[in-house]
Amino acid sequence: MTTSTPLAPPTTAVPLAPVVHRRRRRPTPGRIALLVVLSVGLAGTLLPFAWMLLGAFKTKAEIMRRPITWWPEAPTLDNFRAWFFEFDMTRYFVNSVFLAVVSVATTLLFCSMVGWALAKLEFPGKKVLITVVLSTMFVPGIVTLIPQFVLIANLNMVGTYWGLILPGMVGAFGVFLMRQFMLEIPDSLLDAARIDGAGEFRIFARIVMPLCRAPLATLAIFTFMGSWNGFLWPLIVSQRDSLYTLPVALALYTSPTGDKGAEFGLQMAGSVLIIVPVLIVFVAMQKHFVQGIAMTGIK
Amino acid sequence: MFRRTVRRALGAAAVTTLVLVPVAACGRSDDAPGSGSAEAGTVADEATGEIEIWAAAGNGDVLKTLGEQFTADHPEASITVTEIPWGEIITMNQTAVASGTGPDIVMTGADQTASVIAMGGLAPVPDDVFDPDDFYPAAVASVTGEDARYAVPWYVETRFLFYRADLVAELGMEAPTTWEELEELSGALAAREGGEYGLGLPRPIENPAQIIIPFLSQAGGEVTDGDAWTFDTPEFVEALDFYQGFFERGEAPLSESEATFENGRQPLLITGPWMVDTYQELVDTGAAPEGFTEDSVGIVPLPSGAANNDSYIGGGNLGVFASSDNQESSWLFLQWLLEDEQQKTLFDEAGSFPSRLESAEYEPIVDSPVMSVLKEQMPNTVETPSYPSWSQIGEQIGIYAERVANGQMTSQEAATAIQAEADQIGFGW
Repeated sequence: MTTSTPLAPPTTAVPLAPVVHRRRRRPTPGRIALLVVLSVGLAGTLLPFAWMLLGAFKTKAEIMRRPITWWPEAPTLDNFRAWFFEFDMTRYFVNSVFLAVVSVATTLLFCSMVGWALAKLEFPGKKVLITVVLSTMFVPGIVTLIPQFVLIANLNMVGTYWGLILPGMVGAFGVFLMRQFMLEIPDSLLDAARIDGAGEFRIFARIVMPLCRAPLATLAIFTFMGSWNGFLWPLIVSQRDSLYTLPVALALYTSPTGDKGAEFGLQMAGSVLIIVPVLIVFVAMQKHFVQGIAMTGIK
Repeated sequence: MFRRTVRRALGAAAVTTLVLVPVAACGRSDDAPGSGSAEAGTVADEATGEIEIWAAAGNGDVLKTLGEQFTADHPEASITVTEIPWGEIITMNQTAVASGTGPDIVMTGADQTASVIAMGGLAPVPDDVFDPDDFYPAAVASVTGEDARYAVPWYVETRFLFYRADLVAELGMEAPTTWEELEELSGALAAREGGEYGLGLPRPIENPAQIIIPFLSQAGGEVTDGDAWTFDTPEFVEALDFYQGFFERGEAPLSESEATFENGRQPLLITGPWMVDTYQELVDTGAAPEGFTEDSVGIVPLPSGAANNDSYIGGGNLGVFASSDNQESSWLFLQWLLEDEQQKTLFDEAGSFPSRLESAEYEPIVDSPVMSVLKEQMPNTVETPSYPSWSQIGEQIGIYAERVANGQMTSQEAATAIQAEADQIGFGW
């Protein structure tokens, strides 16, 4: 439901506009047309968000009302109150944050280590290894879901934080992203470091990593969002309320009970609570993010 | 550069295929215990150990309450309940069956039970857990697999007819009891001054099978003869005709509409008891449209077709997981849960309607205006066809119902087409 939406704002925020210096910005017909098209796109993107945000403050009856109302007639905080006082929101929030932080940290570390090895170190079988790592990107996650679950079950990690974390610690996409960027680092720079007596690990930690700020930020955002929005894996592995993450809790408390109507107000409020941290992370890292994508894309 | 990437991608795809083959083969050889081969277990005399339950969302609290009562009598046992979203029950069971790491007891919606049985996830119910004669037959049918019962019916629910009592009285008419009266009333309400629609039905995209199956039963038909699907029958055609008629006459909205029950533009509706509370809330909070009071809501059992007035039955079933290591205690818990007293507690605590016939005579149920209509409707119910392939068949019914509702196809043509699709799909056991 919310998986792809957090990506939407930057396309409309035009963050790079100030960098480009145009002498004259007299509106031409083409430019006006472009602005109109973009505005329509913007409205189409933001409308569901507005509906969600406003809906979070409505009563169930008002959300169900036809014709619809946009502005809440009798704004209420009941939906948010339910999340914090009736349900164990704090617990789910802590779980989500913990998982996201751990998977971001491990992904950044391991993906850049593997990426480095595949980019700059020479060893036999490297090409095959690259192919094997990349080929895992072509397997849809849903295909590996059950084998992966069986694996975790055989390791006795079902119902533990380990089971939730382990599969997300490193990923082929991250390795690919880091490797592509690291290929650009000139060998002469590394050779100079070697001449100065730096060991491989020192080169990696002191020279390569600082140069990789942009792709690291990109990877951090992707990983954070993947972990934060992850639903199916946390659901099937946790198997205990105390391990549930925010998206699982959202599905649990707002899914129609039997065939009864869903609690739309709760759903909206829960979605708002889940999306806000993502927006904050995104806004905070937006600059790096856009850079990272641009730099790995150009070759 | 681009060409090189493509070549690499192809190479990668080849490697991927090689990697995947053993995985797929492994999945097949690792077949779960077949749905027919297992012997029914026995019921413990005294419960021990931990009984882990996966409850569908909204049922955790009542199971915890009941569980505490149970463990008070069985101090050796403990019960833990985890709530699971309704929509993920099938997936959760799938992964649990594949890895053999399930809980002891799983709850399924009445329309999901057959799929979970087909996965081989549930153990057959020992005979002394419950006597099927004491329970609503449609509920028992929903827990019955190909060769045995694999779950116990815990609670039931059904749908009935909601009508705008005030508007119907204005027309000098009464609540309908037959198809003809329903059509007449629906027409009159739609044609009245300020009227718009009559009977609101699930639109073709809203899983119309849920209402077409009851219509079929009301017409005297069945979806199977036990050996094969039977859709190409006069009764099914009649049911489709009845369904389609409301759209053809413009009495049921075919597209998203602003007409609702409370604003009077869609004054007839088939839905469940929970809507009574929703409407009451509208009235209490002053959010209801003008003229809508608690006296506006009339409820009656569904009108009868040629055969009966069967309605849809839903509900919750509880099964014991085949890989559970505490099956005997679990059976004892379920046996206890289905006793009259606990069925009444279930109604008191959660408002869920008992699946046990005698428990439905409980005073608070008989005295409640809503529950008494539900109780009147309950004996006349038809179960969601309890076959693993049902969701596929239901989808086909939806596809053809849309063409019928739009007048692109006659009911007979649709019935023939659905029959052909269904024959190809089979039962899915």
